[in-house]
Amino acid sequence: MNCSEVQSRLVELVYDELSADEAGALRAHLAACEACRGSHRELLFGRRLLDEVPADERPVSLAAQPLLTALAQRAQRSRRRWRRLAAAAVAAAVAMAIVLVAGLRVEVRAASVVIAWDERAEPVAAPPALSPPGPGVAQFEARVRRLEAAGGHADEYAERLLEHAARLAELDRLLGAAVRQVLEVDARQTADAARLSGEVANVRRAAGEELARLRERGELRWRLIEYELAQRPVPRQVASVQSPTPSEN
Amino acid sequence: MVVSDNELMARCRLGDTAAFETLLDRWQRPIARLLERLTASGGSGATGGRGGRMLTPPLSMEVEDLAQEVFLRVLEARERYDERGAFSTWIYRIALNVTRDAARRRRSRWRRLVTWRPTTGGEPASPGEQVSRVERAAAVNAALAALPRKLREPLVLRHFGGLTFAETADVLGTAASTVKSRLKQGLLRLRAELARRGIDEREFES
Repeated sequence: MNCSEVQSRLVELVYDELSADEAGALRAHLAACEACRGSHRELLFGRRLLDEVPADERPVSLAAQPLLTALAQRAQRSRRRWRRLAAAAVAAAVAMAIVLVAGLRVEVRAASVVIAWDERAEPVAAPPALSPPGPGVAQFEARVRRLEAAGGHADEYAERLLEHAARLAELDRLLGAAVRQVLEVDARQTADAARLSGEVANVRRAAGEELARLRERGELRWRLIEYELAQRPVPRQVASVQSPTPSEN
Repeated sequence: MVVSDNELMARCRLGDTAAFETLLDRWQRPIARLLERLTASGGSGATGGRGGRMLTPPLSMEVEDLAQEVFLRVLEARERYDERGAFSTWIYRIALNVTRDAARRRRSRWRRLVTWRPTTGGEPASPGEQVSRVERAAAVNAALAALPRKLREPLVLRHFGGLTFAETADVLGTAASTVKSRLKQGLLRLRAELARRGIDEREFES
């Protein structure tokens, strides 16, 4: 055995990981070789120092029950994290579906995001505003919560949510159409009202002219008295009640 | 009759809490001991050298936390446990990974702003003065903590985990030859560190 071989196996000798024969051969070399003996001494010194470090007898106070609880909490946390991720994915899918189904056009520009409605829609009035969350949306949300409570799978969620999203988009389109109709009716009524108010103004003007003419002729007073009398005929009963009055005087 | 670790693991997998308790009782102290040696940083704990405080510090919160993490991982991985291997090797590998993860976390948190270096321990030895065993042990701990992780891990597994070369290599996931050369380097570096603290072979001569 030469020095380099011995050097490469000294650690094994130090840690007693050699067979008796191998150890014997190494020791024989060490007995004859001062340099290798030095190396051996250095390694052995390190080993002895480490062996001398007393075992740490300080108690550790881990108990099974808290660990099991912590484990359950951790599993729940990771489940919740996955569920949040799935919910985010579903939300993105729903948004996509609404964009596709409702025929919205989304353009991302340098400084703005433009959302355009279907251009073929009749250009009546302003584009209908997005419908406020009606019973449809509430039902939808309730459904999502129920599904979540039931702990269903993300795929199943996504499928059902997409279905709902499509239905919602359809509802939204119907609602838009209704809004447009209402606006149309409103416009028609506005025109009617304008026409009527014009007529009223004409009548009023004519009446004014008639009044002026009558006033000029000094006939107004008499006409008014006649009018009053015509409007409020003296009731018979009043006449009969009034009749005894002169006798009191 | 003592129930083997593998048997306990098998029961543990079936939801036997008592079996897990037994494993915990059996292993928490060795694991904590290993964790402490693996994570000790040169700047903290027993600074070694002469005149230092020789009271043993209580087990740090960090070590308890790490030990808890090890057993949590044991529970989490119980389904995947392969009973053909040795439980000790398996749990030591988990412990090693836990300390490595913790070191990575700490490193990224501090961005190596603080480098833990041992303050050169104590005054040099006056000639002929004998150092007590306790003081020497503290110095060895500090020197061990000052070693780079690569050299420290095999030494700790070998000395404080009682593993053979082959088992150490298994835990570390390296070749046995690598373990050997790292042990050798580690022992020599340890000797050098201790020489700086005034402890050398003469200690053993008297």
